[in-house]
Amino acid sequence: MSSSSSSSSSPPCPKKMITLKSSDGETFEIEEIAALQSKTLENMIDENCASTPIPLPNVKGKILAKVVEFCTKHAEAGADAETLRAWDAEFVGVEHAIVFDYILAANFLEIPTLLDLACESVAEMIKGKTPDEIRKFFNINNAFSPEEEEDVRRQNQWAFE
Amino acid sequence: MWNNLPLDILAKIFSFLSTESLARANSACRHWHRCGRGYLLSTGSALTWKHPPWFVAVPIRSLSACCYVHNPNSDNWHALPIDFLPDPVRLISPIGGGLILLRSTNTTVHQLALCNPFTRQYKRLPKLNISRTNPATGIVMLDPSRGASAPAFRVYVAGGMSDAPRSCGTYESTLEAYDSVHERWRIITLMPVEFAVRLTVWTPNESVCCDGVLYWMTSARAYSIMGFEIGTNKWHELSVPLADRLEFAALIRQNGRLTLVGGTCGGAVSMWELGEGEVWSLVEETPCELGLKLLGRKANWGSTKCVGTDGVICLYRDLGSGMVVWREMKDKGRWEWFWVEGCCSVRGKKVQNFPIRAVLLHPNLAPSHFPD
Repeated sequence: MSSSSSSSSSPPCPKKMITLKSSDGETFEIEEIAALQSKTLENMIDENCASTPIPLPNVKGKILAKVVEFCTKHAEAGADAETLRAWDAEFVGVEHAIVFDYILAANFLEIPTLLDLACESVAEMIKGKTPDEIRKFFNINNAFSPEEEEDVRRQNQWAFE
Repeated sequence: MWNNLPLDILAKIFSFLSTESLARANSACRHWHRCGRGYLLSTGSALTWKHPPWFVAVPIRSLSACCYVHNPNSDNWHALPIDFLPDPVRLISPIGGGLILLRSTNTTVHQLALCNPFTRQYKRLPKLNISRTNPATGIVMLDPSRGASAPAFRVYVAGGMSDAPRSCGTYESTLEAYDSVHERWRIITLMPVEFAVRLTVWTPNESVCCDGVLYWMTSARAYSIMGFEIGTNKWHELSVPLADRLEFAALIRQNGRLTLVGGTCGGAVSMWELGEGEVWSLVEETPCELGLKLLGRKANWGSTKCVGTDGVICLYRDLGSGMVVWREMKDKGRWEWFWVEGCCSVRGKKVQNFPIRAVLLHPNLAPSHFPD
């Protein structure tokens, strides 16, 4: 055991970084510890596939950038729950088309915290709307046949304002 | 885009919706409808407990086209049509999966059935081995088996007056149990005749099950409790605090403990919990002004009823009389008292004031699959 007389603090361990590549060719660096929030990435890291840039053909660059931001934030030590909740609320306070992409990305990358957050925010968008308003907001085509329409109305009529 | 989301993700979104929002989401498009109706909330799942139970009431002593449900999230009433029921009914108890055990009231002979007013499903239970009128009923929920799409439960029926031609008019001493897994009734045991009499004549409500014992409140002169230990088929009696001074008394289960709710003449409604050594301890009393509001112009607690489940207890009378609710506020870490206005109108249409019988139910919009 060698004794070292150091008057300065030892250099911090270099953080292990992983590179991710989006569907449109952009690359992003993420700390390994943050990447572990994705079960998909965790599996790849465990199996030592993480030394080259990991291609993610299902996720666009614009969204991947935000996912990296989310995972990095949630991997930070010492974040208090209150502040994190507020940060999360701002993170999903975007148009539903983007939240849709977050959901797909979180599902593909298996990030349960992001998936729950995004799903809950969509539920908030649904609450308080009539079926018509829901369709308009989410741009959904009402694909019921007339018989189905009648069936559905009978089952759910009680809930319509 | 949104109408093509994988069903499991859509189900996750829907799990955050309360029942009325889910009913509206179900109506948006075919894909969402399939998800909302196809993804069953399993009885033991954590999903059910995200949302508080609903108060579901059926008018008694009259043939009603609707049942009336109170939405605890928005504090308003809805009317659900129950025209799919072939007989007039009296609610007994929820049994999980959004289903309610009830009794047909168009026959005096005890005939039980299951129904879910939200999915408009109804299924009669098979006839008892021994036909009887006015027995005491008890329910025990069982752990659902893996992958089961309907809840597992047992129904116990004790006493009653025999309906068989030879022994008509005599008290029936047998206790029968129905098993939802095997779908049949079995005679379990006999009881002394005096117990059969009490369970027939003096037991208006169904039992509460705690720690493997079915407890019934009986009201012959003074109130007392009869307990049936399921494992050993043994009967015993429990005394009730203020037994001869209570004007109404009901049993509920709260925090896994047997809880007695009762009102005294000129007094408040109190709640006692049964603890170690079968000792009752006073847990809570209704605030004076809420009690008076519930009494209204009545002089006594006589027609007051009570339902309770984990986290909420409701005292009620008629549809229009309003309710006193004691609810656990999880985020505040304490219980609070509320007044809920009675149902006098639904969507602008006036509703007649009926006496009602209610249960607390976690609504399930997904149909149960009853085996044929």
